[in-house]
Amino acid sequence: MLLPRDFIRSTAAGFGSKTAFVDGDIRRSFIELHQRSDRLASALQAMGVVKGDVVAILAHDIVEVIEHFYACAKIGAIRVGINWRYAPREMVHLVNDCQPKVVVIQDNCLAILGEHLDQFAAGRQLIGLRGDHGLANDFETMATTDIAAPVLPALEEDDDIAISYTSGTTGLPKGAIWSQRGVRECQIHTTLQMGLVPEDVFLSPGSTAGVGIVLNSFNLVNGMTIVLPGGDFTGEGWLELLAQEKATFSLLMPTLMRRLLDLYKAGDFDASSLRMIAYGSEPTRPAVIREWVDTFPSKIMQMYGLTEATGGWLSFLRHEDHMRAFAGEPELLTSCGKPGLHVELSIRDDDGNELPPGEVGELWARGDVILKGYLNLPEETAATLTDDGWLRCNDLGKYDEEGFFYLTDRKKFMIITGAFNVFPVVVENVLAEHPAVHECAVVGAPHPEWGEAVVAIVSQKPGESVSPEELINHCRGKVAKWEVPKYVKIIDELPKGGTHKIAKHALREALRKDPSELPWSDQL
Amino acid sequence: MAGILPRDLLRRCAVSHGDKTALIEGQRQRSWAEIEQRTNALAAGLQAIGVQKGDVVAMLAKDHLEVIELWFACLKIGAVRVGINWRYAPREMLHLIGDSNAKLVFIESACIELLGDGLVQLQQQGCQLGGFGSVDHGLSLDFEALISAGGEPDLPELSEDDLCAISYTSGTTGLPKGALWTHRGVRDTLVHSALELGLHHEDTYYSPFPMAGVPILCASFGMVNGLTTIIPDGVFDAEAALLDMQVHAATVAIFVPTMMQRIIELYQQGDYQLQLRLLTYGSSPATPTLIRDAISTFGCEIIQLYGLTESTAGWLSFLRHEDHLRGLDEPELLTSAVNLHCMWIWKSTPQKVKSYRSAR
Repeated sequence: MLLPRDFIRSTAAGFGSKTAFVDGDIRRSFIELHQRSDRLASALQAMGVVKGDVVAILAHDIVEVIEHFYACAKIGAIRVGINWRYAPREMVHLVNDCQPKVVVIQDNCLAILGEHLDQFAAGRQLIGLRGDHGLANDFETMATTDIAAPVLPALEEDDDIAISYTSGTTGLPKGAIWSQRGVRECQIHTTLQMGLVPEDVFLSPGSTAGVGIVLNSFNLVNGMTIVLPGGDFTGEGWLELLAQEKATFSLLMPTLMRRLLDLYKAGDFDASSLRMIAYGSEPTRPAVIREWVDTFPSKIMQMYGLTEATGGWLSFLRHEDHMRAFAGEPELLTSCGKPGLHVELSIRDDDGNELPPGEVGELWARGDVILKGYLNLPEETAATLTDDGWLRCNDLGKYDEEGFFYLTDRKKFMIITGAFNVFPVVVENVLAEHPAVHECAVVGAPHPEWGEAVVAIVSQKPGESVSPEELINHCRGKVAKWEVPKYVKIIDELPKGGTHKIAKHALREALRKDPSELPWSDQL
Repeated sequence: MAGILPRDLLRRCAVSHGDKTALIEGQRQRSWAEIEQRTNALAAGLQAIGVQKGDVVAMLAKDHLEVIELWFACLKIGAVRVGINWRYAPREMLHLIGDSNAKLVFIESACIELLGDGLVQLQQQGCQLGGFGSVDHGLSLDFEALISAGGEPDLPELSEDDLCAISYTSGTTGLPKGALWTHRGVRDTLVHSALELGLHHEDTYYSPFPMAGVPILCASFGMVNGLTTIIPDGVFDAEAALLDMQVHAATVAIFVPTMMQRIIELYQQGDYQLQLRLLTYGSSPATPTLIRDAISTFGCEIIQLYGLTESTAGWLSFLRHEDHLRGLDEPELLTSAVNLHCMWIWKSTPQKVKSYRSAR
């Protein structure tokens, strides 16, 4: 059976000198990637790395992250990406959890660790990457020095290929264990479902620490070119790269779409090459989707996936579905689409019984892309995976008679106010339609009578102004009474997590820890 | 864990793309939901008359939706599909049926006479025969009646390594030989070739080749991404092909060079509006003149595919559009590059056939 490492070799043979990755001034061809990852793999083996050893990388979104992944894939080492946006405490947790034998660290990430560096590095070999890292081993030297070819161990589809840490909405990140099979199936079938073609130039949002590493290796199955953000995503950078590289396809998170819309409208950028964007990772406001379609020339599709499904991706809301929505079925914009052909989706109650169309339950998924388990968390694994291979996604949702799935919210974010369940995304979608609202998050805050109250945190569009009272009035009549926010807080910018998502968990926890600003705080 | 099987892809196309058109033949169309319902019923009908996993079900027909429906039904229940080329001599047809030990043979009404005395021979041997295409085929089983009886098949456990088809090569010496295809081989051919060609969900794909052999897979690409496939109504006709491609807004087509030549000539003489974005061709190289004509006439990209029966089609290599553009100045590239520049060797050769069916 073909494994990811076979695709590395075959793309080198089939696409040779074609550009696989653009990273700032660096252009790496398919054959260069293969050769460099071979050398790196050999070097890792010379350092004592064997099949099953973890080799982690702490870096920004640069091409060496891909080379590191490929080297690991070749020799059966297990790749771990450490998100540079994590707090040092989380980074230390991560390495203590997965116990890497070797860690690659980009020079500009050493300072992030600060006083935690010794703890982070204890008992591990370090490889420095770019700049003047000062470490004993150098990535570029390894990737360019010919030693013996790597010894390719026998690998099975079920072998571990990576541990991907989730951003985590509660507590410390947990590591989802991915298999060789899962990564391959995700690469193949998501590429097929997205309609990516060998001639595409895919403008990547980066995010290579987690599921982004799979997204950023889709060209292994079709030979297309991927343009990395050149370190970190910026809106201006994306727009410049779009024109410079004549990118045809991109994937964006909703928060990035918002940023790009503002920049594009204010500037003079050429987006004529863009034929399609995909968006996802969190619910996207219909208002943002409409604005994007009205502004950019590309077609649009939505993808839903999660770390526990090796990205997946699990469902797709296609361009024609968006057009139906604009033609008079707006509720479709709140759907995450229909299942991909490589997975099964189901809505279940708490006892695991399948629910009929229209009833809200938990989303379950099954397929070759489902994680093997969580590292060192057997109870969490048992609570997440059933004996017959279903994954409990922890997202609440429903499906309609046509088979469109709708995710109402993360289970953890559901607000229970009085006797009512409130799904924040419902209220967020309404708030987002107010012309002054830039971004918003709705969370539950402690309330003396109702247990939780619906609270909205909002940022305003540049030049716009709105009062909390106006926003509460805006929601009245559009959502149920119990869904109308009882308190609205307006701030300059909503905090984002390491994957560009709004840090809703942090907003909720902040109010729980310090509810003093809530109007009813004296009763708590 | 068994990987995704073709039957899984078919079922999920019905789930996720139920209302979308899967197949078009002349005036007839089938959605993915209809395909699922009909092939389930057909599969159940086959099982009701005793067809089990591993049994061979053959079909002698020109190109019709029923050819694909039978293929899909076989995939579901683990039966082994054999396509009989209607251009074969009766001797060759009987050889295929005997060599594959077919339990059941469906024959299109219009092809019954092609068997000559072979029909009586088969009946005397106790081979079950079924007909379709007209109500008076005179054979004991009726394709549509099996479907009309409805029902759901009992899906046997299948592994990737199980046989799903025997594909007979035209053979350069002696009688045709049957290459044994597996579910894995079919799936991987479809998945990887779709990726290589850049086929996507919104494509409408014109596939005119006779579906007895490898081209049954050309007509099956839809199962990996839900695209729509157009097949000719019986046999390829260049004028009908142009009309079909126009009416149904075909975006991708596959031809052999001689077909492509004819299509271009008619297109230039007529007043057709096509929306082709990709022309694919195979079985022989195309001349620089033909390639220039194709590109300038249709304004689309062009890819050559190389494959063979023994690799479950494959397809094994692809001469891409940019290679064709180079080849206009380096014409030797058009004849040899398919082997030098673009050969993908599948190291684990998932598409390799298991073996040839040994002649009796």
